[in-house]
Amino acid sequence: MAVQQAPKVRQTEQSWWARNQRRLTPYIFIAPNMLVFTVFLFVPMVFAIYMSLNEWSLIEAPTFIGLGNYVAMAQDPQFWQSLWNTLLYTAGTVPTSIVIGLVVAIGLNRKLPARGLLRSIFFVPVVISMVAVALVGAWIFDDSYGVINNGLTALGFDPVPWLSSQRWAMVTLVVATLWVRIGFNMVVYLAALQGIPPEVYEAAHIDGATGWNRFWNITRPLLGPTTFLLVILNVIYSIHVFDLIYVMTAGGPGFSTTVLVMYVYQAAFENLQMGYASAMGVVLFALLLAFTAFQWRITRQSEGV
Amino acid sequence: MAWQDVTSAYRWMWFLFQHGGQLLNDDLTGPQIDNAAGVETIAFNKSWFEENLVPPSTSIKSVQTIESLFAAGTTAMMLNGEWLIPFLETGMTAGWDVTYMIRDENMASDMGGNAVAITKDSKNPELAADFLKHLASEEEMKRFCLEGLFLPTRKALVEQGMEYSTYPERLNLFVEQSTTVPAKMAAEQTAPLSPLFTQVLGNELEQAFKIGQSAEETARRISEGIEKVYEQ
Repeated sequence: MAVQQAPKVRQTEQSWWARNQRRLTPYIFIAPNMLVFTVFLFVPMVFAIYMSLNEWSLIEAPTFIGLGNYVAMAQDPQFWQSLWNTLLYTAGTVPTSIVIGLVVAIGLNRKLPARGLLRSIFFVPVVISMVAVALVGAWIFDDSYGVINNGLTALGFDPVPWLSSQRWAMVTLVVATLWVRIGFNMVVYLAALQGIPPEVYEAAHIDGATGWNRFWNITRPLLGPTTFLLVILNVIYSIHVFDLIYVMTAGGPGFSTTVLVMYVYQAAFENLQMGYASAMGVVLFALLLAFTAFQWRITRQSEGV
Repeated sequence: MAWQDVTSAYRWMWFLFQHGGQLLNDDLTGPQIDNAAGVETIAFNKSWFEENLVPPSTSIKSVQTIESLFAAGTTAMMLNGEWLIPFLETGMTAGWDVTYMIRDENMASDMGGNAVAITKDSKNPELAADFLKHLASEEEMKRFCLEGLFLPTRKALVEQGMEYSTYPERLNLFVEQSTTVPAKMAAEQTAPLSPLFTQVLGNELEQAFKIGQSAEETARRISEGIEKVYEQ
C-alpha cells in the first residue's frame, strides 16, 4: 500500500512556523506593551533629545542651535541650584524612608494585635493623591494657622516658619514625603520578609545568634535584592518630585526648594523655553541612567564577593 | 498682598508706578527699573518682610491664600481683588469693608483681567475676530460684568456707572479704582514678552523679600534679566 505524502508547500509553511513558534511567541506577547512603550516613551524621548538642540518657544518654529542649550545650562546658576536641591531632597528622603520602612516592616511582620489595621494605617498614604497630600501638608505646616504651630504655641514654644524659611522648607517637604514613602517601602519589605524561610532564623537562634546578629547576617543580606529595587525606585521618585513641591512651596522661599523637574516645568511652560527644558530633561535622564548603572554594578560586585 | 505666585508677580508693578517709576522704557524695548524709583519701591516692599509687617508666608513664591489670613484675622488689611467679596461675605465673622488702594506720589492699581487673542495660524480669523468684537462690545461686556461681578474695561461703561445687583457700593468702588490703572503699565503688562519679564520680576523680588538680596542688586538683576529676555 502506497504511503500518501502531504504537499510539499504546506509542509514548508508548517515547518517554518513550527521552527519559529517557540522563539516568536514571547515577542508576540510583549508586542502590545512594546508598541505603547515606543509611542509614549521612546518616541517622545528621541524627540526631546532633538528638541534639546533647538530653541523653541512653542509659538514659533524651532531653530537649531546645536549645543547652545547645554552651554547655557552649564552657566545657569539656577540650574545648579535646582540640581543641588534635588540631590538634597533625594538624600533626605531615600535612606530615611528605606530604613524606617524596613524597621516598620520588621515590626509588623511579627504577630501583633491589630497588625492588619496597623499595616493599613501605614499603607493608606500611598494610595492618596500626592496633590492631596501636599494640600493637606501645606495646611498642617502653615505658619499662621497650621495645626503644628498651633500646638507649639499652646505648649509655650515659638511657631516655626515651616514653609516660609530657607532653613525649614526643605525639611518640611522631606517630612511630608516620608509620610507617603514609608508605607510603600514597608509593603515591599513585608513581602520580602515573608519570603525568608523561618528555619534560617530558627537555626541561627539555636546557634546563639542575637536579634541584631540575625538581622545583620540573615535579614539584611537576604533583603539585598529588595533593597536594591527600593533604592532605585525611591531615587527615581525623588528625582522626579514636582507635585508636592509645586503645591506646598512653589519652589520657594527664594530657590531653596526649586528642584530640577520644577525648573524644567518653569522653563517649558512659564518661560516658553521648550528647547532649554528639553536639554535639562535629557540631563536628568542621563543622571538617572548613570545612577541605575552604578547601582547595578555595585550590587553585582557585592554578589560576586 | 496677593502677588502669589511667580506668574502673578506683575501685580507688584503698580507700586512702582505709584512711586513714579516704570518697568520698561517708553518704547517698550528695554528695562527702566534700575533707578531711584525702582530701588526705593523694592526697598519699600522689602521692608514689609524685614519689619514683620506681613506674614513671612506671603512672599511671591508661596502657596498662601491671602484671603484666608484676612478672614482668620491674621492680617488687618489685604490688597486683593473684587472676586473675593462673596468669599469674605460667607467666611468672615468679623466686620470688614472695602476702601481705596494705598497711594504714593501717584495713584495706580492692578490691571488684572484675562486676555483673549487670535493666533496667526487661525483657520477662521474673520470669525474669531467677530467673536472677539462681540466679547468686547459694550452690551456684552456690561452683561458679563454685571452677572459675573467683574469690572469693565470700557471707559463708557465706567462713566455710565455699573448697576450691580449685589454688593453695588463695594463693586463700584473697585470700578472707580480701576480708572487709576496707568496706561503705560497696561502697555507693559500686555507686551508680547511680558510673561518672561514677570518671571524675572518674580524671581528677583522673591530674592529681595525672603533671601535678603539688597534693593539695589534686585533692581540691577531685574534690569539685566529683562535685557537678556530681549536679547533672546
